[in-house]
Amino acid sequence: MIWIMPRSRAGVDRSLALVSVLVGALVALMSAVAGVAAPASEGAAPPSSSSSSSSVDAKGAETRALSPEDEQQLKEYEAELDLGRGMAGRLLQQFKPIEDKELTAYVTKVGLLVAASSPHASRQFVFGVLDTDTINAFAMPGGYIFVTRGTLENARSEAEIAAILGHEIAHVGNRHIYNAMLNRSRKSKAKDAWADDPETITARKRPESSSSDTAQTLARLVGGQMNVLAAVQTGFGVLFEEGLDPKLETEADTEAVNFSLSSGYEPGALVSYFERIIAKRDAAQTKILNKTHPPIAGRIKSLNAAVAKTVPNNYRGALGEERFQAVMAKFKNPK
Amino acid sequence: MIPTKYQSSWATFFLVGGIALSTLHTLNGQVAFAAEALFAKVANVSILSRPDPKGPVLAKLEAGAEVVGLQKKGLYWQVKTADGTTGFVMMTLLSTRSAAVGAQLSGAMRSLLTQKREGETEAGTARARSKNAVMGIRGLASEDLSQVGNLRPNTQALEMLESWSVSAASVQELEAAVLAESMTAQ
Repeated sequence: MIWIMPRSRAGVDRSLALVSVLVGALVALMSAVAGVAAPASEGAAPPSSSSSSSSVDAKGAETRALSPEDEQQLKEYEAELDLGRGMAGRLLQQFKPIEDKELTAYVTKVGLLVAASSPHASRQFVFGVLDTDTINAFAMPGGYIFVTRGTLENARSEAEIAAILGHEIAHVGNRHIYNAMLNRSRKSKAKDAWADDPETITARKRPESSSSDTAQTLARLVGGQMNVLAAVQTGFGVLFEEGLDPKLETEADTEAVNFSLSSGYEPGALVSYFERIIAKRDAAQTKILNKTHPPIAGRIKSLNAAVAKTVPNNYRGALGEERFQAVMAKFKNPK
Repeated sequence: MIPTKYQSSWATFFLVGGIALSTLHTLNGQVAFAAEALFAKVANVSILSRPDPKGPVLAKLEAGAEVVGLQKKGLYWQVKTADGTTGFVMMTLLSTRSAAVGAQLSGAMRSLLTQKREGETEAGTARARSKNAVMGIRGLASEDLSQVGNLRPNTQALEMLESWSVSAASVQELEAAVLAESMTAQ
């Protein structure tokens, strides 16, 4: 039996630096001889450590400066965070959170596991459970994800919760709601209406100019005074009235299947959940869900197609039924 | 102008050079796209001789061990280890990211979130003076949420949830349990 041990970080850094030098030399050679730059590739080694500056933080640990790409992501995250916190705080005024630390920690762990298996692992997420019978889950910019008590009570397994959280993580990671807010504010020319409101924030820094439309709009919006109240009202309009583009909902459903698969959960769990709640279509519990999302029957069809395309017939992922039932039993009957 | 007697030599030079460059370029592309660094998510990950959970085990990977992914076969990655062992690993047991990748950005985002939470008390004072913010809307049914944007934020509840963090170890523990169940389910 051979055991393969993880390499030391220093060893990895030296290897990366060596690969970077070799790739750099190759690119330089090609550019110099052929007179054209080689196209960037996804798998290319990251910039060598020698190109990044380092400093020592308050605890004496060496910290490296963020890359320009990371700096840009951080600025955009800050803008998201301001809006997301504004929305999350108001939603928590309407729907009180369940102050059960164990239940919330459980939902958080499942959510973070799914996020770690997604392309959005670097992001920060805050999870909570809202005390309402309504069956729904909400994602807000900045990574605030709330699932309702009604959703948990209608689930049968951890895999179903993982899929629901995966759907919301896809919304956050792909900035579906944030972009919808920007689009809606552009359409309504809300920026003009945001002036002279008591609840305003000033962005700390203007984001670097970017070729993307979203980044340019973001730069314009946060470069001056931005009214959080108007912005969160726009956000709630997206969440509770218009809903997102049905294509984005399908995209989030499909990504949830992939995240479930990557994290080891049963990829068909979201279908199982929808098949259970479809019987409640006309009930008050699913009123908002039906108003803001594509019809559940259509989502089940799309999900089945996504699962069939991605997952072999004989594959079965983890359901985590026992863990889920134990947590829910403790929540319903606290000692 | 190139003298006629040298034209053949120049043509040969450019032809050979062109082939060499395109080969280098293709090689670069192959290295970048065909091989992918993968990392064992948990300890005791089996490298199998074939893409089948019942296949003989060739080697075991420790948590975080790096292998090169050669190609995907169904739900398996064909991988090669540093010592040259080639075999198959269930894709759910491998991550495309090492724990260190993204750690800096993630840490910076975490610090930012903490700063926002800690700065909330001061900002909350200004919000309390806002004429637009109200504690609640009388008669607002739970399903009628169009006016939620007018509510005053429940910063206490928000800060409570933001502070209820879970340890990375507890998430890894859950991950190990999920992966163990998924392997048993095959």
